[in-house]
Amino acid sequence: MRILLVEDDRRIADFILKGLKEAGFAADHALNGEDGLHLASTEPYDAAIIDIMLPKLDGLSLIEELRGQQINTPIIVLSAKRSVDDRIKGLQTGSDDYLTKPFSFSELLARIQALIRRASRVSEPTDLKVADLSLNLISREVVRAGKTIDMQPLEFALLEYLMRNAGRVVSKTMIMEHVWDYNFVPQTNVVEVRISKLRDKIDKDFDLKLIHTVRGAGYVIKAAE
Amino acid sequence: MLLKQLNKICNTLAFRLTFMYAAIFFMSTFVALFVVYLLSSSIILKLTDQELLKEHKEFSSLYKQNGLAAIINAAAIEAESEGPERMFYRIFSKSGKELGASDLSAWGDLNPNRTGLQQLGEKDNLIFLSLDIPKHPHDTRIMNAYIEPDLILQIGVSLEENAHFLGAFRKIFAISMISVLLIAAGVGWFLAKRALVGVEEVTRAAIQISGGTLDLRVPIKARGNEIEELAQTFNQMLDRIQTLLTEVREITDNIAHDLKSPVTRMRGIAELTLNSSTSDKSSKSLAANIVEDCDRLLQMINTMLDISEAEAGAAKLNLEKADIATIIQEAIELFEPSAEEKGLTVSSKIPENCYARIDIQAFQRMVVNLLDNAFKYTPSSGTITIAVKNSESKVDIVIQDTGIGISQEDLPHIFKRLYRCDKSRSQAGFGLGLSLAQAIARSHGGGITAESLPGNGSTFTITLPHLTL
Repeated sequence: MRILLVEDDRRIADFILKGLKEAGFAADHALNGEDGLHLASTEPYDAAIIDIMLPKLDGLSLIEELRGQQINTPIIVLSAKRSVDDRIKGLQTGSDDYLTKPFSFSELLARIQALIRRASRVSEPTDLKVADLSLNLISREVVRAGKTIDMQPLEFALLEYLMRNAGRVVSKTMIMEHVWDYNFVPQTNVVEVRISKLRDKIDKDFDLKLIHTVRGAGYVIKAAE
Repeated sequence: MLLKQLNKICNTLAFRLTFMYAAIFFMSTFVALFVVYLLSSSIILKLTDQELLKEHKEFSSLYKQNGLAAIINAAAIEAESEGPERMFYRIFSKSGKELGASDLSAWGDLNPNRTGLQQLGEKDNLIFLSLDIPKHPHDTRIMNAYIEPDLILQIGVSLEENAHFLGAFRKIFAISMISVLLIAAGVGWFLAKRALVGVEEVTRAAIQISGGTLDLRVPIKARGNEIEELAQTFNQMLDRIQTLLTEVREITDNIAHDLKSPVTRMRGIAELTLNSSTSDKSSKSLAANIVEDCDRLLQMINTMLDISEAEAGAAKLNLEKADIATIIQEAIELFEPSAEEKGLTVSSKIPENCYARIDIQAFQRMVVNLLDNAFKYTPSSGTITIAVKNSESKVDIVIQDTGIGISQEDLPHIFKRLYRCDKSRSQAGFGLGLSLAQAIARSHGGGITAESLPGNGSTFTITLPHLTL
């Protein structure tokens, strides 16, 4: 998978590039809009990350130019403004997404993967599996080692979100946003308590623990180190 | 209550101006009319005296021509023609002996000494005096005068006509005074009100501005220089305040904004280290600390910017019709496991549906901020009660806890940015939650009020107007 990053802040670009490489992506970087346009129109990319505020050619004009050339690479727009510009909304064609600064890298990664998945039209799996845990999206059944586990709707939604991102760390912000549709994290330990309840159901009776806390980053579901 | 209100009205400038205006007008009119009254009464008395002098002259010449018997006879005839109850004549010798008189039956006691006969000394040729004669209904003007050195003529005339005239005068006087008072009060009130209308406009603007709408200005109209000057000065002061506030806010916002990029970079690098398989344990722990602190910092920066945005008003809101009952119910469900863990009881009284036009995300934030506070400051085994009261004009969302409460000194300040009570310093947080909640409520055209009894708990009430759906 090949990603194009157009970002003029070198240090932000640095950690995004490093992170993308560690996640197994090949990444190219352009420091301004013109270089970005040149790269995007000459090289094939699976996705592009484009900052709005760019020297020479701003992000939105760059995207408009690309769309004009019938280049439909899925794009994530990075914006420093928290209120989303109407022009960005207008640009959203279903293959695009936006993320406001400051963002966490895990969030960016999750969104890139979701965009690529959607663009490549991989059919949605009906079963999510991590080790001996499986979750059926249609029957809404959760089974671990052959044993069905009772789930409340919110617990199911939380587990589903963790399993869709299996192996990737999801932050509390991401959980609040995707499971509860809140764009902020309450001060009260609501996520921690939910996770610990979920652990009681999923991991308590088993030696192999699946739900892990990554200090400072969030939670990840995976079949151990 | 009524007395208090009356007192309040009496203390207004308009009332005092009116009162003074009416009083001055009344007093000057009174003095003028009173002087006219005194003058008139003395003039008509003088006219009466002149009549009497004329009689005296006639009697003198009659006596010289025809003698004593003729004037006694003339006295009787004159009194008879004038009316014996209106006039009397008497003729005395110098020693005071009555030599003749007209019909005195209507006059009662007419003791010669009482009627001033003995006052007629050697020097004076004649004297006038006014007397109140018993049994006679009106004052009487009496003239004692010598006709000859040894003959005195006394004429008495009832002042009935004068009394009628002065009575009518007094009546007109009273009616005029009452009318003057009423007109003066009316005109005074009108003038005072007109003069104060500008002041009232300035006051109204000041009230609205202290209520939060700093954009408002006092309209400048041509209405007298002083008021216009006041309005202009007031507007200039507002401009300055607004500029200062905007500057302060812009500086804060710029700092917050400028901090975002470096903190994002720092956090990104730390996050990479944290997730990298090549990092060792100690650098991972260091990275985790950095990420956690960056998150706290970013949360603070974002909340500051959120407050500024919410304070900028409704323009930034993404309003839509939503069921706030459901949103609150969901928020309560979100907190329930945490409440269970802490040993708190959460009870709620929420109607089935309650629609309002809100920005859903901002509304969630506001409610959750208040719930966060209730959770933070309520020790285990406490109770948190959430109630939604839907009435015709507004929706009240009441969040009540049995926590540590807020002291009276802190209570007025809790909605200020970065304000933290002494007791809350030991708890996590920045002192921004309540000011954000307040800013959100205000941007929706509502507000938040807080009541608290230290030791017994606090009650926060969000009030939102029913925006037209």
